[in-house]
Amino acid sequence: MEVIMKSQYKKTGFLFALMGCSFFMALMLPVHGDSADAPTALKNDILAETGIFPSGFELEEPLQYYGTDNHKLQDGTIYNYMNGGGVVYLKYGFSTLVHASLKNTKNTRLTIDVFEFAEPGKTKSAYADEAICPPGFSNMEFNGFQAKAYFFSPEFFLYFIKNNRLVYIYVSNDEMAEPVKDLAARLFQKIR
Amino acid sequence: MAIQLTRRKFIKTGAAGILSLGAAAHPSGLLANLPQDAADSKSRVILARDPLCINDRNQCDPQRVKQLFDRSLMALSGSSDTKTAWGVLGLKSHDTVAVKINCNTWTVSLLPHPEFLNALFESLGQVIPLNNIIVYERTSGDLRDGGFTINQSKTGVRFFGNDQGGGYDKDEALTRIITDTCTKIINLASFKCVESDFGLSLFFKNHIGSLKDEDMPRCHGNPDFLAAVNARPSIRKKTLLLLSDGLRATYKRGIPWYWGGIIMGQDPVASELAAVDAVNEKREQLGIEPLDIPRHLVIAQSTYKLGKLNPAKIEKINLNL
Repeated sequence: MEVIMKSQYKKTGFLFALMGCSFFMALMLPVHGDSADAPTALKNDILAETGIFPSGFELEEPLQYYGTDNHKLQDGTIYNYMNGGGVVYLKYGFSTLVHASLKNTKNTRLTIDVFEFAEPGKTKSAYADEAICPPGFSNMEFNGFQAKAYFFSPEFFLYFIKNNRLVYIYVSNDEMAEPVKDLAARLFQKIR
Repeated sequence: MAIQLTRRKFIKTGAAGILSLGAAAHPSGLLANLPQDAADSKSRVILARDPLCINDRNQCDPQRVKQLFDRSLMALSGSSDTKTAWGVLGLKSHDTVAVKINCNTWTVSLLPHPEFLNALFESLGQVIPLNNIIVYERTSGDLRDGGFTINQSKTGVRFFGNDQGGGYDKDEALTRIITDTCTKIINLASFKCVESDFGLSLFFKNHIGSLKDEDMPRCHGNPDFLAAVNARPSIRKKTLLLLSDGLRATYKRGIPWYWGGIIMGQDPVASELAAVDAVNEKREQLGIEPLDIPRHLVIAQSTYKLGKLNPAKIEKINLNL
């Protein structure tokens, strides 16, 4: 009995010692001022789905994820992406941005940004703000949704919203406007 | 610490003083390094335009761009050739020139045009080796996104970001590219109207990309900080030229405008004010409310003596090719 107790005592002591070590080791790990979440924390990460992009376009680099000062994501905050341009997005409760940068063999650049806001009402307000969606757009009707489309030769880009997402798609050559519109329609369907 | 002034040092100092007086007598010269309000001469700013430089597909005519650049440089310096012009502006054959460009051109592309950069490099190449030119941005990734190839080799113009530039100077909190590596700076800004407090994203805002990441947001809504950044010793003392690629610009946030021109000067306040005037001219034509004089320019002039805001003290030269 005494032997068993000793053994248990030893085991318990060992466990406590292990926990203590773990605790101190955790304290010794580098501490970052802000937590940088993994992108998997994002819900409805539609750009990560395979086959979503127009054919012929390849990602130039992995998808990028930006958050806010209080909730940095792996690539930092919206300021890291667009400098001071981010201020107006924060006004509407911006929380995350997923950014894709692609190119085709003809050097045409395609950019897709999916912004997530606090709630749909604020997303609508962001969409209406000229500091985000500038004037000079044409209203474009799709099946079941509208987009603000910009034909600024030689570029073409559009914005649309669904729920609490605002999506921006840009292509450096307006001859690629049709595939971009198709992409917009696909993304609209995917957003839940 | 007592300063021992030897006869040789005295002669050198005297010579430098005489040279400084000579420079101050020139309408532009090395005035960028002097408190502007103390200088009697006017700050010269060139606004040069050629509608045939660029078409509505954002494609440039390299010859016309080169001509526009060269004519601007000669007009700014009052020289009859570009090599002499660089000398008058203060460039020396041993200089290393850092060129700050802006690749963050959300949303319409206002990247510096390759034809414009080539005109600059070709011109600088008359005085310094091309390898003594460093084009930099906040990160090498930003440069790549802008379509530039990173080059840290010993041949050709170098391109790299602050993240490959040896870190940041502890005292000035600026990239070591400009505090340690270069001896002169060319501030090459996009001609971008952002409205808000800044009015334009031009010469002052361009140096946000010379800061550490964590300091960048401090510029937002803080005109004093923005002016103060541009008054840090390396920027104040080393800036050789303010240059804006306005071949394609914006007169309103996000609305492109083929302005077909360039802005060139040595006084950051006067040069940015000239750009505000050019934008306001366009906005007036379209019935859009004009931009106010941005607060950071007022502070830069009054607190930091970085340049002139009084139109009577600015010599604006319009070149129409």
